[in-house]
Amino acid sequence: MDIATAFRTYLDQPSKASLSRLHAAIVASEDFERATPWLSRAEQLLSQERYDEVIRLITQRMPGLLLCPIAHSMLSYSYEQIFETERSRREAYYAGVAMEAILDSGSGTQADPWKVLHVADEYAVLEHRGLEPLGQQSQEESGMFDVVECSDGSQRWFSLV
Amino acid sequence: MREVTTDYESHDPWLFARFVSGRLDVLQLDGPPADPSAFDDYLAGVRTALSVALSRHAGERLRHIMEHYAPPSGDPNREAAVTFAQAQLESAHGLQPRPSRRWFPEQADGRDATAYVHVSVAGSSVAILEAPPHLFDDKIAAGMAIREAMNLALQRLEDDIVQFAARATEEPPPPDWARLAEQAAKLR
Repeated sequence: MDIATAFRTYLDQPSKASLSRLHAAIVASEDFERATPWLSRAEQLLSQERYDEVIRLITQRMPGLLLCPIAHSMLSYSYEQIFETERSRREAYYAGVAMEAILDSGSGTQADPWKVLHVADEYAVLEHRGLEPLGQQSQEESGMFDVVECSDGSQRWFSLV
Repeated sequence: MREVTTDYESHDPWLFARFVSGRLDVLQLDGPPADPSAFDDYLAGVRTALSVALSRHAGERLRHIMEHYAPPSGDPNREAAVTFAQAQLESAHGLQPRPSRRWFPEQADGRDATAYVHVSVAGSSVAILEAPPHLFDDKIAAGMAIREAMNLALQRLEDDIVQFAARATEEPPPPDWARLAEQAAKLR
């Protein structure tokens, strides 16, 4: 299933099964990268108010960055700054969809971890939940897991799909 | 080193541009045709003309630098290497950069204060010129707005290249052996 079809299906019928198919399509995309080396450059460009370049940097990596909350949020903010209101709204909507997709994928526990595509997505979720990360450990037991210790004493589990 | 100035005039559309040492110093334009449907073609023509002007200016700056810094000729190996490099640079004019996964300072953008005029410079060509039609109601203001956006893009590209070059020559940080030993102990 191609990404566009998988994305439409997920938007029409959000479920763990349709999300799983969408994740599989994104990971299979040649634009997909688990690492996010673009992120520091995007942050630097944003701090310099270079919005056109943020947009180019991220859109060049689409659809591999689909469902990455921070990528969609950066796009939304950048489009807003150059008065591309419609695109800004659309990306804000996608950022919301991306965040919901993670939060609906599990409960953040060892038994039912949140499913993410990038490590950066984990930090976006923690920030969204108002949680401050203190440390992170990776575990490879029938899959790739990240366990984040938070300042409220809780542990949040993520599964890298 | 003296300033390098390049004057360029195009006739369709009419435009006069003066570049001084890497910046657009003067831009005079004849406005777009009255027919609104011809505006996009007009703007594309302005972009192409600015691209040609910038490319010529870049070539003249390069020649000036080579004349200024070149040691006396006479070494045939040096001559062969410089001729080859010049041919490569000339053949690269007008090429659009390919998207790369790793950042390289190949393209930078600028906007005027209103943010409606957008110029993107890739190497020594103008890759994007966006401006609203009403801007050209005042041709002097239009020239100034394009100049402002273009100079911001040129400044950013220059800054990126300097930053990239500085990073490329930096010594890598020494390895943190204590942290690596700790990780190794955990993995055992």
